[in-house]
Amino acid sequence: MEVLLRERLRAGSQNEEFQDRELSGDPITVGSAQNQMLQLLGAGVLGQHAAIRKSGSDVGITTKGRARLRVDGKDVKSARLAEGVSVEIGGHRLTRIPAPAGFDAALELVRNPDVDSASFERAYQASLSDTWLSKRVPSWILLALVLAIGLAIPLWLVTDGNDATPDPESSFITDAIWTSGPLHAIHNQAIGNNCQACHTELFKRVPDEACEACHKTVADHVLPGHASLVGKPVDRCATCHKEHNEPTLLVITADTLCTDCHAEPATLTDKIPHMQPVTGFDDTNHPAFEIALERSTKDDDGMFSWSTTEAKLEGAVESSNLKFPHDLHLAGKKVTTASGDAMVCADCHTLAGDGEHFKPVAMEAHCRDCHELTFDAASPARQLPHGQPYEAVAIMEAHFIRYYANPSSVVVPKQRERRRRPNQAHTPRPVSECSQGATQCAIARTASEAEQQFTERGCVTCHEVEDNGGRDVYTRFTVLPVRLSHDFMPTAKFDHHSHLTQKDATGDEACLTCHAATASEKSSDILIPGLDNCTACHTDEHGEQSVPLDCIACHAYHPLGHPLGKQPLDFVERSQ
Amino acid sequence: MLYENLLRYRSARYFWWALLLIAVCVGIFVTHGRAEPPNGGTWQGYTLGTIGALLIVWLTWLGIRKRSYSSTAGTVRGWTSAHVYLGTACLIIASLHSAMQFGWNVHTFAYILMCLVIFSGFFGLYVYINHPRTLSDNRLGGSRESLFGELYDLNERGLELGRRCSSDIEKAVSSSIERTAVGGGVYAQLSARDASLISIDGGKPVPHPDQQMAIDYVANLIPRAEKAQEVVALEELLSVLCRRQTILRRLRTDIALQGWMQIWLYVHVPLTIALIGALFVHIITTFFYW
Repeated sequence: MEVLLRERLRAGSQNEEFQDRELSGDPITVGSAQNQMLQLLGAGVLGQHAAIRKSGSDVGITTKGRARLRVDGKDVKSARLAEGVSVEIGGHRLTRIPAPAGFDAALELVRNPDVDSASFERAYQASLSDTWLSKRVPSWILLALVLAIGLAIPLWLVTDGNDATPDPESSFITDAIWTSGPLHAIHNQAIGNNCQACHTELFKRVPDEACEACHKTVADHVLPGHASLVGKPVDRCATCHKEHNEPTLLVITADTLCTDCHAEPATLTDKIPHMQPVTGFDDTNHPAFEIALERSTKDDDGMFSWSTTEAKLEGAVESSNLKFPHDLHLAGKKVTTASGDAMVCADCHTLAGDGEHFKPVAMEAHCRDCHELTFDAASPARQLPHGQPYEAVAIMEAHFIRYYANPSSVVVPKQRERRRRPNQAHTPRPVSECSQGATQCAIARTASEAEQQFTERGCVTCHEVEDNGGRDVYTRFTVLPVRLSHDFMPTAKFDHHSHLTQKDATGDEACLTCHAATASEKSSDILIPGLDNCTACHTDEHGEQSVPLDCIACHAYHPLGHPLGKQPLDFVERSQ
Repeated sequence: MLYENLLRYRSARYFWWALLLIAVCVGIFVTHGRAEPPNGGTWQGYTLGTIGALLIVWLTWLGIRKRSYSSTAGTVRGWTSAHVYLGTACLIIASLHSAMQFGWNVHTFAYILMCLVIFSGFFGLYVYINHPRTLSDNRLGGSRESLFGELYDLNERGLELGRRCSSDIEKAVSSSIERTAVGGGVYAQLSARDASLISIDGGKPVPHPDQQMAIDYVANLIPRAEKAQEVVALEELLSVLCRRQTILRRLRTDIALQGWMQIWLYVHVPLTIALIGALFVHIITTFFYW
C-alpha cells in the first residue's frame, strides 16, 4: 500500500511546518528499530511496535506482542483507522487524514515533543539485559534438569516398588549414575549395576547381611555384638572392605583398624588375658613373638596324645621326641648326599604349594638314604621296618631263629656297596656259641640286638626311647612318638617364597639369614627367628632401609579353619 | 577504580588466605596413608568435601552479597577479591576431595559444573581487569548517556539541516539518521556489528555500515552546489554526519565492551545455580547409598 505521511513539525507553534513523505509497503511497519518504515523513538515504543494494513477500503493498525496503542484514552491492541481517527504510540500521535490522489491512505504524524535524549537512548537495545538473554530462566531450567535427572528420576525408579533395578542398557537414567566409583571386578561381575544388592535401604550404610548373602562361609574375627566391640569403630564388614575406589581395592589395610582394639587389649575383655598391646610393627610397638608348640603327654594306659601350647619364642624348647643336629648335617662335607655333595636345607625341606609351609620331613624320603635300619652286619640287606617297633623285634627274632637253625640260609648276596654313617661298626658280630637250642639262642640274640637298637645305635640314634628294664623284649622299649611342628605360627602368614630372594644371599644363605640352623646342635632348638630379625628389614613405615608391613601382611583378620562356622578366633591355650 | 586492584586488594590479602586454605587442605589430604588410598569417602575426603561445599555455598552468597551495594559489611572490592581467590582455591580443594577419581556419575558432574563456573569466572576476571580502561578511554571520560545525548542532538541537528536542503538530500539524510542501528541483539552488541540502513533517492533501504554512504553522498554534492548558501548548509550537514560517525563508533565500542563484561555472567550465574543443585544431588546421593 502507498501511504502519504505528513509530519507536523513544531505542531501548535507559530512556525509550524509540514513535511510529506511516502511510505510504501504492506504492511507499513512502525517501531523504534532502524528497520521499521516509520521509526518512532521514545520510552513507550518497542522495536517492532505495530503494523498498518489495508483490507478493502479499511485501514487498520495492529500491535505486536505486548505493545499497545492508545485510542481515546484506552490501551488497545488494534484499531481501525477511519478518517479522523487518532492513535497514540508512545506519545506520538498518528491521525488518518484524507488521502490525495494516488495514495491508499494518508497519515498525519505529530511526534512526541517530550522525547529527549534519555528516552532516545531507551529506544535502542544497548545492553545485554535488553536482549532475550536471561540469568534467571536458564538458572531455573538447569536447576530443574539437574534435580530431575540426577535425583528425582533415579529415585523414582528405585522407590517404585519394583525390586529389579532398571537395566542401564535400556534406561539411560538409573541409580547407576549415583555410583562414586567402579566396583571391584569380581563384584562387578556378580552384582553389576544392581546397587540395591548392597545398598538395601536409603540413608542406611551397607549392612553386613548384604555381604553375607553371598559370603556365607566367612568367619568373624570377633562375634558381632561382642562386648569388646562396644565403642569401637570396627563393627561392620565395610569398615575394612571399601568399594568404589580407584584403583579398585577391597581391603583397607590401615593398621589403625587393628590397633583401635589391640592397642589396649586390657580394655576389651578378660577372655584373652595374655593378649598384648600392639600399636605398630617395630621392636617397641609389637610384642615379642609367641609360637605354638606341640607337646606329648602319656596317659595311665601308656597312650600318647599331642596338644598345642603357646609359648614365648625366647627360651622356648621344642619337644618333638626326635633327635636331630642341624649343625652336623650342614657341616660341609661331613654329611653328604648320595651324589657326594654337602647337604643343603632343601634336601629335607621342600616348600609346599602355599609358599609358606614345608612339606613334611619323612624318614623314608629324607633320612633313610643314609640311616639304614640294618641290624645284622652279616645280612646287610635285611632291614627293620620303620615306625613299627613291635614288628622290628619280631623280624629280628624270626631272622635269628632261621639263622641259628640253618646259618647258611641267611647269607644274602651282597647287592651293592651301601653307604654307612661314619664310625658305625659293620663287621659282622661273631656268631656266639649256641649251646642251647636254636630258638633259645635266637631269643637271646634278639634281646641283645634289640637292646643295641633301642639303646645304643639304630632307633635310638634319632628317637627318644623309654626302657622299662623289663624282661619281655617286646614291651621293654617304647619309642616316643615324634611330631615335628608343621606350623609354629598358625595364625600368622609368611611368604617363604619371596624371602628366598634376598640381596647378596641365595639358596641356603637365604634360609640361614633367618634360621640359625648351622649353630643348632639339638632338635629342641627353635629355629624360628625373633621379631628383631623381621624388623631388621620391615617396620610399619616407609623408610630408606625399611620395607613397610601392615598388620594384615602377617595376620589374618578372618580366622582360618572355620569354613562354616561363625566362631571368633579360637586361641590356643597358653603354656604356663 | 573498582577493578584495578582487584587482585592486589590490600596486598592480595585473600590470595594468602586462599593459599593458607589450600595448604591446610593439602595437609589433610596427605594424611591418607598407603593403607587407605585417597578417596572422597575417607575422613579426609569427607572433611575436604565439607570445606569445598561450604566454600561453594559461601562464594555463591558472596556473589549475591557483593551486588548489594547498600550493605555495609566490607567493600565490594574486598568481597570480589575474596570471591576470586577462594573460588580458584575450590578447584584444588574439590580435586583433592575427589582424589582425581572421575566417572560417569553425578559426583563428577558436580565437579565439571564447578570447573565450568570457575573458568567462566576466570573469563569474567579477565574482562573486569582489561576492559574498564578501554571502556573509559573510549568514552573520553564521559558516560554512555552523554554519548547518546550528543547523538540525539546531532540527529536533531542533522534532520533540521536536511530539511533546509533539497528533498532528495532531506530524504537521504533522514533515512540515514532514522535507520541508524545502535546495539541490537546479543551478537550485534558483542560484535559491534553495524546494522544501519539507508535509502537514497527513494530506493529500497540498503545496509549502511559506519554511515559512510551518507557522508560520501553529501560530500559529493558539495562541489556541485550552485549557491554559496547551499554549500554552507551542506558543509554543516557533512560536519554533523562525520561527528555522528565518530559518536556511533564510540557507542558501538562501548556497548560491545559492556556486553563482554556482562555476557560471562549469563553463563556463570545459571551454572552456579545448577552447581548448587548438583552439589545437593552429590551430597544426598552419597548418603542415599552410604
